[in-house]
Amino acid sequence: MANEMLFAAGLASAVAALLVLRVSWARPGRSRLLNAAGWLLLAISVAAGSVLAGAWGITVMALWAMGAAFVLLAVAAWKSPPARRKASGRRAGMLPEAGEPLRLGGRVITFLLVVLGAMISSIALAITTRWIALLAGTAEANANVLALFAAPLGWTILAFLILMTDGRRRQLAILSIPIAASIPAFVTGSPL
Amino acid sequence: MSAAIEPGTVKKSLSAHAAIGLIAGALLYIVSLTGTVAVFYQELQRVEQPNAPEMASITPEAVQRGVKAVLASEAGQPSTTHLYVHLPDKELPRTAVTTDTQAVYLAQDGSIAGPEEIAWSDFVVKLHYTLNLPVLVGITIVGILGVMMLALAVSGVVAHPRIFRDAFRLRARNDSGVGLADWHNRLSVWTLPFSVAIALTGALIGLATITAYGVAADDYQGDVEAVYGPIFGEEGEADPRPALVPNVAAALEHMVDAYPELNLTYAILHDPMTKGQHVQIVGEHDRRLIFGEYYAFSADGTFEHTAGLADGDWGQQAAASTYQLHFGTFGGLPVKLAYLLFGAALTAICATGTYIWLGKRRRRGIEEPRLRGAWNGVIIGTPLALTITLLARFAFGNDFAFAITFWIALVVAVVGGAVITKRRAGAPDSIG
Repeated sequence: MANEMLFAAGLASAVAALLVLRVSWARPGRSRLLNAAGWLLLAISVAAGSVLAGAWGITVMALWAMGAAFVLLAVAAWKSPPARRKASGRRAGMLPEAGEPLRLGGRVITFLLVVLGAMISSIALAITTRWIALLAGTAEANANVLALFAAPLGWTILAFLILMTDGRRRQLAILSIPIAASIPAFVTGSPL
Repeated sequence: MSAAIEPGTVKKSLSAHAAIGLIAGALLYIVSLTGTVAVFYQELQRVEQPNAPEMASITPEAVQRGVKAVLASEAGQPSTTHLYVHLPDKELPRTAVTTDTQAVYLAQDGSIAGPEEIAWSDFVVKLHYTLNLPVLVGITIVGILGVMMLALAVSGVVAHPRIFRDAFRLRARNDSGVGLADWHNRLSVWTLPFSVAIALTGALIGLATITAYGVAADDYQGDVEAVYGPIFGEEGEADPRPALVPNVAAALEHMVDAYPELNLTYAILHDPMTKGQHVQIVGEHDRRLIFGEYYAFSADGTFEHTAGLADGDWGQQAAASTYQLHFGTFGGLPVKLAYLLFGAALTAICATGTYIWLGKRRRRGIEEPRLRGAWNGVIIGTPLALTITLLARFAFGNDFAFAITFWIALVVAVVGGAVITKRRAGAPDSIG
């Protein structure tokens, strides 16, 4: 019974958090008090979910919060007057404008760096992460799972950094750091 | 937040966001759409083959009879390396036995009721997992798409400094581009926890094999299975000498007696009818993200140990939690419906991103009817091609070539869309 009460309180907090944030962000000026109240309610719902059922509880609370946000969005969409603002023409720079060169070779190299280069680099990062974890005394299962998580997270960061960086040298330098860092893991072998 | 990000960074991030979105957008859309459909894999199976025997539960003795009958039906063939018994539960109240070469349903008494015919449901799942490519290539590409989705989330947040401040602003009644951008940005913000969770778990599942190859090359003499052993448990020593059918009933009876609170989902036989055989029962824990715990038994049904997915190292629990978190199977129908809503939103985000980019270029005077038509083909063609394959399933049966039909239909839709839109525009393409 106590668990069910805690669960209901967590769900109510998640929904209330979204309502408070909605009210706060609709004001002309920022209200620190309302903002803090909204985030606090969200934190309470996460804490309630965690106490009740760990990761499962947190996930369910997050789904309720997102669901509440969708309801608020639906209301906003329903009530919104016809927009007068002109749509953005902000240039993303993905393809050339009329008369500009296509620079196909450069685009292919960037693609290869983001896909192949970052793949090799992120696997090197995974191996290094596992090696350091084992050296620090982490259990083998935990170290292997850290490696499995490190690869996609590392790849994400590398892909973002490469695309945000001008100049091939800097891009290559970014990719080479995890590879260089993995050399001790390959040279010294297993800490197991 | 806006004060913290330089305008130059915002501009570069928008370029990065557009680059990733345009290159990976079509595949991300297909994977998002099929993933949203695949959440209902169990329900789809029941729709696809409505006449299969259903039951709330099955006795251990009936399972034993079913296992014996299936193994006897394969006498004289190369022996199966694994045999899986799906035990009936609320979402799929059917007992199905799958070996390396066949899948059949069991009746309540354990007799073989007939073949499992769910090729369309399996096709949708394979399309989501591997894009119908060979497994290693396909799952790695889908894993890379997960990474790209994560990178889109990061670059999208950085590229839109007002994205949180405007989080509740949705100017839906606008057809000049503002409405479309608002839909894209608002859905993106409010599905961010869902998108990140789905993308990260998808990327992890997809890239696990190549990461494991790297780790195995570094530390396990190339033995990839040894990477997974400490996480999910080791496979026993193989001994190919013949043996009797293992006592699955005793294992199931032990589970019912010792763990009455668990929902038993699978009985798995490793190397059945050999001296090296052993049995695993998968027990699902209530209110946990883990797909279950492996309970290991010897061939005579004596309990030996658990793998530790429920209470072992945190890494084991985290790894075992990725699957249910990704597929939305941890809370029954309510969670599946939530995944349907947020999955549809994610699919819409993938679709609208390219339309926003095309709209901006049009407003700068760059008309690209072929590109716009091709994108229309992807957006309309994917659900259309899926529907065609579903109709073909009911019209032509389980053996229909779903994958080839889907991809041909999609290519026709993309090319047709490009040609039709170009013809309607009647003007030369600016870049083509």
